Amino acid sequence: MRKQLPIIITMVVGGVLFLTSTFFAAEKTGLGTNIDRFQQLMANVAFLIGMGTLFRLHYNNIRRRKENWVFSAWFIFAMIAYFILGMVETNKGKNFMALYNGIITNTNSTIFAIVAYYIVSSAYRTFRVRSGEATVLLLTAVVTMLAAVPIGEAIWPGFASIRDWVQSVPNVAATRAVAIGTFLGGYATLLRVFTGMERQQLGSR
Amino acid sequence: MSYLFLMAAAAAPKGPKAGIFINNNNVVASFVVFVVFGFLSFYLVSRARSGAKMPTIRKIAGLEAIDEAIGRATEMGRPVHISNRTGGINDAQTFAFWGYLGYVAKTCARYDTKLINTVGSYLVQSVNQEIIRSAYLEVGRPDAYNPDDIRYYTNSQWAFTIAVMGMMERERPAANLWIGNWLAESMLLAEVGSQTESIQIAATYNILQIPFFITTCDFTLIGEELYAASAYLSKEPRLTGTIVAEDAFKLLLGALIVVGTVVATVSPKAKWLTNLVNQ
Repeated sequence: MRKQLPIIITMVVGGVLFLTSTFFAAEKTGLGTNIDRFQQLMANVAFLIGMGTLFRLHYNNIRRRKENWVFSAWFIFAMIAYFILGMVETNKGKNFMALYNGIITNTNSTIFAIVAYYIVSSAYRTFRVRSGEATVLLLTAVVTMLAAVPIGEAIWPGFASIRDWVQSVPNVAATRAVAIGTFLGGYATLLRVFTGMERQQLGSR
Repeated sequence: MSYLFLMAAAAAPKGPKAGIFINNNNVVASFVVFVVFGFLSFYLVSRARSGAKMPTIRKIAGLEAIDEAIGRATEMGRPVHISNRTGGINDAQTFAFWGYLGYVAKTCARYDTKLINTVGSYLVQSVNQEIIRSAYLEVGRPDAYNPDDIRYYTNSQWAFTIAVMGMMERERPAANLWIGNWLAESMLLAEVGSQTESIQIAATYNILQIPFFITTCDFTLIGEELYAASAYLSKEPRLTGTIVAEDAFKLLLGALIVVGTVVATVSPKAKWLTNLVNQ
């Protein structure tokens, strides 16, 4: 029963939600809307469970004086302090937003900026001509890049037409093929989950 | 006045199609797809259950390489790292990821190789813990299971990225598996993995990230290959049935595309096929 019950719940709730939200007008049945509300409620409960799990994990790190336990202490302090600040000021509060914009946004932008350096080292490795496919990739990349900068147009105005053709014909054809496969793959996976064939999430097959 | 009536009519909510369907484009066609694909899957899974011979899935190099990557990590005495950042607990890709996780955990447990799992959702982390714990139990090595190796860093994109990059530099996993939907962090993570000389296998359906993975990883599974893993790795005929259904349905879609191309070429003004699909 430990395995069967979750599968039955998945099958019934998943099936009803999928059909009512994707195909059938929810107002006719009301089921989809009610399940949506229930899901929102569960998401909030899950959020509290998540906070509890994190607290327990880091509290244990501190209690057992594990390596780098100081960071666990800092984490608990930051989590609780920011939670309390958010509750007091709401999520539009001056200090709440100042902390977010002053620390999180700037750190995120800094890390995102590193992407540029990694693209260079990755491009160097990729564009070494080792095979026919790599040569085609290199030529396409060179044409696309030249079409995007003014010097490309100065050399030969035809680069832009080639770039447009590459992006709108072979690129779109490949993209759509991948999209169709992805849709069917995702759909088949959900079908396996709904019918209980896929039960890895329960701990074993 | 009539203009106002027209405006009001345009702003009024649309009634359901045919009394029951949501009033969106393609909804009836999608329902037909759902029924036909469901029927195909049911038929082929039933055939597989009855013991009928099922076609074998073609060799997928990326999935074949998982054993090789774990073997290499075992020889080098370095950990294996598997990660899924964006997938929530209700995503199809997360269910696909669990197929990989179960297999990798069992293989690592068998070879006594450390497995590190980094995750960007605290709910998924709980399920991952259960899957890995079960895998270690199944192999008879419950003592080797270490819950501290299943690490929820954060759901913030760049904080997660920098945490995983740091982990890779410190613990130097010999194999990295990037499974699921990745965003701009794909390049940073896979490039650091490449610099730490790891074997890297990526599986994603995100078309924008596929080029980054192809350039930095040893193997990249594209689109539907991501979802085929559980059937491919388990070799279970019932699961293979759904993969065969996918292929059969793709043939049907291919035929529809050919018919559409012929109709559009022969009679460009005919809209019956477009209208039919847009129902």
